[in-house]
This record gives sequence, C-alpha cells and structure tokens, in this order.
Amino acid sequence: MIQLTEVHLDDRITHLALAGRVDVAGLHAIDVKFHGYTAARRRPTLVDLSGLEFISSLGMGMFISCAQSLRRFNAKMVLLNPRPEVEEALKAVGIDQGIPIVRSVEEAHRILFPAS
Amino acid sequence: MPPTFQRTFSRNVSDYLAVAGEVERFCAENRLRTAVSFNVALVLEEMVLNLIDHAVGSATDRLDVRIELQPGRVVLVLEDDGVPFDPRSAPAFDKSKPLDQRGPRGMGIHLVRSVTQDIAYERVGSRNRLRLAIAN
Repeated sequence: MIQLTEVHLDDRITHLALAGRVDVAGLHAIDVKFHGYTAARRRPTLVDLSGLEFISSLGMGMFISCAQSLRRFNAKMVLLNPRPEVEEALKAVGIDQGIPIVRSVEEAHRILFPAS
Repeated sequence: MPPTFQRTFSRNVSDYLAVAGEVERFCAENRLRTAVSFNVALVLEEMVLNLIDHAVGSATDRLDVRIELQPGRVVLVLEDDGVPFDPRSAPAFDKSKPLDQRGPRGMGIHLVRSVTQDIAYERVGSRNRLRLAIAN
C-alpha cells in the first residue's frame, strides 16, 4: 500500500508526503505521479517521508532520477523526517549526499532557498 | 526447530509480491523488530528482483525461498537454477559518487551487503544457493 499526497504550504515549493511501501508494486503505482509532481514542475521539492515504512533501491532510484531533473533547472529536493530504518537505507547508498535529509520544514526551506 | 517460512514460486513480479506479503506477515507474527523486518523485506526484494531481471538459463523459472529465525539472526536462503551467479562478485558500489553522475539502478546488491552480517554462496548441482544472514 502506497500513498502520495500533495501538502500545500507555500507556492514556491512542491511539498509532498509519501507513505506506505515503495517496493516494486508501490513504485509502479506512484512513479509517473511522483515525476509529474517533481521533475515536471521544476520547483524546489520537499518530500515528507515520516509515513514511509519501506523503500527498496527502486524507490531510491526514483528519488535520484527526479532530483537530477530538478537540478537541471537549479531546483533542489530534500527529504523530511524518514523513519530510522528508511534513513539508514538511504544513507547506505549515499543518497543523503545529493538529496539532503532534514528534520523540519524550516530546515528544508534554508536548503531549498539558501539566499532568502 | 526454529520458526521457518518456506515457499517455491515462479520467477515473476506478481508471484514475488504474493510471497513478499506472506513474508511480511511471517515477520509480524513472530514479532520481529521493525528494523529487522525492514531488512528481511529489503534483502528479499533486492535479490529476487535481481533474479527476475537478470538470471538466465533457468529450466524451471522457479525460485525457492526459506527464512529461518535462528537465535540472534534471521537467515534467508534463496535458490534458483539459472546460470551460476555469485552476488559477492558484483563490483563495489561507490556511494560517494556525486548525484549527477549516478544512474537510478545498481544499488541493490550494495544495499543487501549493507544490511547483512554474512553472505554465503554455493553452486549445488545445477542450482545457485544463496544464504544471507541478518542480525536480529
């Protein structure tokens, strides 16, 4: 079971919440929608992972692909509040080096808009 | 005899997902910690999808999975009859590589290495047998 919802807080960013399991089935369910919300919009993106229970390398690949697309338009992606086991897996492949993991919306804003 | 889960299934995503759901329930019924259940699911998904995507030469297209809850660890044994493949021989993954130079694939075996205590491989007759131990 996977759920991708948009949280509207600020017109300058895309704020998403991803909950459930991003396994092979979860990825097929949300991949196009996630790309539509992120890469296609070309805006700084915050993804709340606090409800994410599981992620495999397929889901991590989705993050990498979308973050790369955003970078081409000078926009960043950050990941908010993953659970410990999700965070450990993300860090095991060094995703946090290119897609920062943050603990608050305020911290996310400081990374997404460093000059403001 | 330790609590054990065992299934044989066809090498396709649909059958794998059914087994993955059963494994999730097996972990819950045996009260594994969240982090351990996560690692079991991760190892199962990465290794089975790797076999679905890349294994060749199988006469049966069947996979056998067995999960044993041993004291202090969970042992996952995966068998197939494809051509010999030892995942320990996969090239090292460079996690320091900048995001812009990465592809979206190729992280699975590294993830498995990162969450397992031990990976053993043997060729038994015409079959690959992979034994992966996860700390519990």
